[in-house]
Amino acid sequence: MYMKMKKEEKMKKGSLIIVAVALTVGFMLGTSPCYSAEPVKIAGIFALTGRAAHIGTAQRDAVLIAIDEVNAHGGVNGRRLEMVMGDTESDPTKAVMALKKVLESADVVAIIGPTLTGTAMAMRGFIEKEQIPAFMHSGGDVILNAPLSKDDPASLPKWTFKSPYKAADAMGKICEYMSRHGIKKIGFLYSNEGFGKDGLKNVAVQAPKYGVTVVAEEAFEPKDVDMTAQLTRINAQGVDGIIAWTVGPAMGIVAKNVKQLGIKAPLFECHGSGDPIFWKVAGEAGEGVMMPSTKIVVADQLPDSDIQKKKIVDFVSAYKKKFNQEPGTMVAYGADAAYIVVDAIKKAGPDRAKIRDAIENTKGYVGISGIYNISPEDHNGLSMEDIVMIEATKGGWKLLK
Amino acid sequence: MNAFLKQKDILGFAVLAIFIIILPAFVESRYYYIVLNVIGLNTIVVVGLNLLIGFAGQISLGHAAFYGLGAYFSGILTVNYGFPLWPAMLVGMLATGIVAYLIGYPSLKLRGHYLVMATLGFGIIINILMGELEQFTGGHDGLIGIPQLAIGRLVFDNDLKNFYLIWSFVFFSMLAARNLINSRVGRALRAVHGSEAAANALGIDTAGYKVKVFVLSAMFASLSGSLYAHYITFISPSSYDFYYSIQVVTMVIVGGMGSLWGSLFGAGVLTFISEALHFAKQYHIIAYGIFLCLVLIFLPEGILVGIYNFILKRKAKKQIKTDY
Amino acid sequence: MDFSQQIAQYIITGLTIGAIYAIVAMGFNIIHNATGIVNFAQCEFISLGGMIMYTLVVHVHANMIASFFISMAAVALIGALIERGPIRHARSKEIIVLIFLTVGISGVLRGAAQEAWGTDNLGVPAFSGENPIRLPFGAIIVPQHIWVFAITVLVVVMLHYFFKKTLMGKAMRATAVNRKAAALVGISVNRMILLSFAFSGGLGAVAGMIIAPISTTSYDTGIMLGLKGFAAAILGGYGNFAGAILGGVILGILESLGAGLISSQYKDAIAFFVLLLVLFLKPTGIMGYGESGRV
Repeated sequence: MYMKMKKEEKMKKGSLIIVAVALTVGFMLGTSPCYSAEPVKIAGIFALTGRAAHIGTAQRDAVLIAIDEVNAHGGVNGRRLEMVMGDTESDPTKAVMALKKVLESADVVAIIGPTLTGTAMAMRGFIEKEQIPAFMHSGGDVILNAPLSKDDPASLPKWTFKSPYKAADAMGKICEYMSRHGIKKIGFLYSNEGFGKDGLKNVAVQAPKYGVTVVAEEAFEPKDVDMTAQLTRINAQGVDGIIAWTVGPAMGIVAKNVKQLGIKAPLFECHGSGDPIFWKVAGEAGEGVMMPSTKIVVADQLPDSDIQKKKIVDFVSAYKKKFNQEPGTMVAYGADAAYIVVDAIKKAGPDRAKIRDAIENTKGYVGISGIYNISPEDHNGLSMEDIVMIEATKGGWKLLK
Repeated sequence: MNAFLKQKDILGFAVLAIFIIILPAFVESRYYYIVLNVIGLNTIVVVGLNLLIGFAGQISLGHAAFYGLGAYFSGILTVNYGFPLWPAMLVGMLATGIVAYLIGYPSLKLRGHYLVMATLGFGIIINILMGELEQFTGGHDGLIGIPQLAIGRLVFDNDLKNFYLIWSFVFFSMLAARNLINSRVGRALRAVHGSEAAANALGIDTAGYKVKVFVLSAMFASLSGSLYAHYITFISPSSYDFYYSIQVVTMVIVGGMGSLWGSLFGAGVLTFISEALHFAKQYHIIAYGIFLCLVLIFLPEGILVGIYNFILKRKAKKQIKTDY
Repeated sequence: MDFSQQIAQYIITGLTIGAIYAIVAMGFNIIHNATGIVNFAQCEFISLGGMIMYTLVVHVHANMIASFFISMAAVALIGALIERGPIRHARSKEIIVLIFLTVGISGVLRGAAQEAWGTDNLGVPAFSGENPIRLPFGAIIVPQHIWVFAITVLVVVMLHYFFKKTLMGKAMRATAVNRKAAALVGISVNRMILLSFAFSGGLGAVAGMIIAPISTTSYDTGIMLGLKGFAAAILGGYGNFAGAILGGVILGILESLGAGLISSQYKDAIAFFVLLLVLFLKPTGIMGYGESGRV
């Protein structure tokens, strides 16, 4: 009996302690410094593994910086911003599964991502049906251009937006530069997958606009290690310039092959090449290669009169501080997607339809990729003016006129 | 004369049917449904492939091509030419079967690693064609706007309805496979697997059977591919590369070569694990690889068969102990 | 560049990549001869060779020659560990199970590589500069191409000497021909198998390192090279060394000529198609003998 009483005493003491701790914790939680209520959740779906992992992880990092910045300045109307992440594994089926997974948390108000165009196209139909605003940063123009249903050519996506400028505009920028510098006959070398083939279609439309003729077209597989055969054939046509439309290691290999073969015609690459990885894969052979790009890689060279300059410079230093490397051109797309979505949430509150409307009415938004003027007809909002031509030189970039 | 279905099979199919019918009472999450549906689609492919690998003892590292052909035939016929849905799927299966025959006839004369290479090779060739023949396939950007399946007024437009659709097909595919295995043809296949020379000596047309089961396995894959196309409504060549071919063979092995229920199990476990490991963030590739290695090292007969054998062994050991 | 010069360029390119395929093919052959399996981890050996050399040269600033040999030894060690660990302890010796075990191992290595080196491509400096050299027939190469050829020839000569003249090499060949008989004459079969994995690792690393300055390297560089190396091994006759070289050269030139003369979009399809044709006509590869088995 003595023992039993001791036990009861112990139990009373124990329960008192537990209640005390619970009260303290509850008190602390209840009066946490900055944020009340629940966080606002957005979903970030990127290619974190698989063949597009290096782009996907960079874009995720950019979005994380944007989110950190927002939370450091009071969050979204006093509520913390939280990102629920999904991994498409660079595969369309997995992308749809990741999408459905994040949609299960019914309080996700918007989606950012994905990385690859194929995954974006797979997700698009479900996003439109689900009626949740999605700001994509995949490159393919087809995301906005292809109608949702073949029977109705006017059925364009209402809930899907995209931050990278149109690949067609990037191509136009190159052709325009060429026309101003006396380049008339060109060869087009592209990687044999979606992005490269898209480029092939674009150059057929853009080149004639600026008086440039494509006299040779050659393809290679994305993982090929040597393009001298293709370049030899192009060079044999007597071209004044060569465009190589690819991302990945091929960017560097083509540059090296061009130097190796002693080809004098200037080499242009795509709007994804303005990235530190270009120098890693091209080495010294990258010297002199030109490409269209977002202003993020030449932030310091922008004239002070450029309204984007301050925002870009600030972002670049935040990025360098957190990740200890220079951001590449594609980081800009991820960041802009995040900023515009957050801006819309601030304006419209955590309501999917209202956020969508707010995004669609974003006008004159000073982003990192450019000035966004989104409208119901144009869910991208950028134009050729936002693109600059740069030249790879001495491990860095030079802004071209 | 074997009974059409052995006792444990009847139990298995009954459980499966009950599972399919009552599951929706317990599961609401769309995410779980899509995972289950992908498991179902993989199961159909794996069941067919297991007939080839487990029973006939051949190998194919190019089955992604047949899965893709089913998807593309269905997609192209319905989107570009306005074909009606179900006939398109049937035509797709027949067309894929013909392709499989043309490939299988010369290939299955090869042995061992040469057969591996041949199947790898044509898998790659077909995958390249999917991307290149743009006017038909939409090229690397893929084919969009594939219509959803429907029976009369009932359109299969959400994950739950597709669950019923896909798993009904799983049920009947497994039934068909079981029927085949227990028939004369099935016994002939097992004879070919056991010893081709002996089978030949017994007058079995081994070459013919090998090609036939290859074609059949291709048609299973094609059926599944069509179901995928109408479910996700978007297909692209990147889903039908040799990684997928390797994945489905892995499912055959992990489930147990030559085990019908193992096919379901293998598809289920690997698909599920691949998703479940996402909690490990970027380590999920390593984790999946380790899981696979462990299974192949310690349960090489397949998880299901391995566990079953393990239980039998322990029962036998106990029996021996009590006998003394 | 006139037509003959173009052809010369295609052929040189084809020979270069063909040399890589040949070395990879030899790696596949060694393991096949010892164990009868296809080692999918070979793809990872190629990637790891390039990446380890990258780390040594670019981050540790080690001497290039030393880095080459250290990397080769490291990957050889990894190969040996794979054999000693997962492969030796696998409960089933069935070939298909072991093959897929190597698939699993390959995945683990790839995931680990992604963690260690990230997903970006890494540039390895060329062994002796990048100044173009103009050849008599009009083709233009860089010094790295010469390294590729030279090292490939060296590897072939050394392997030939090893297998024909040294006791260990002969012991390995004996194990490949008939395991039981080899064991009966006192050869440690387990050690021979271990060695074959180590060799294969070293060869894969060499292939990865000599091509890395040309193509850059990353955690998944080796997959395509491994696949084509396997195809080269099969084309030449699986298990046959002369066949590996022949297969590699033919595949490389086919690819290059196919790209240059026919269509760069379909070049891989063309190469594999020709491979299939050869197999249908000669089911054991160009120089292979039949795979026999007991009835």
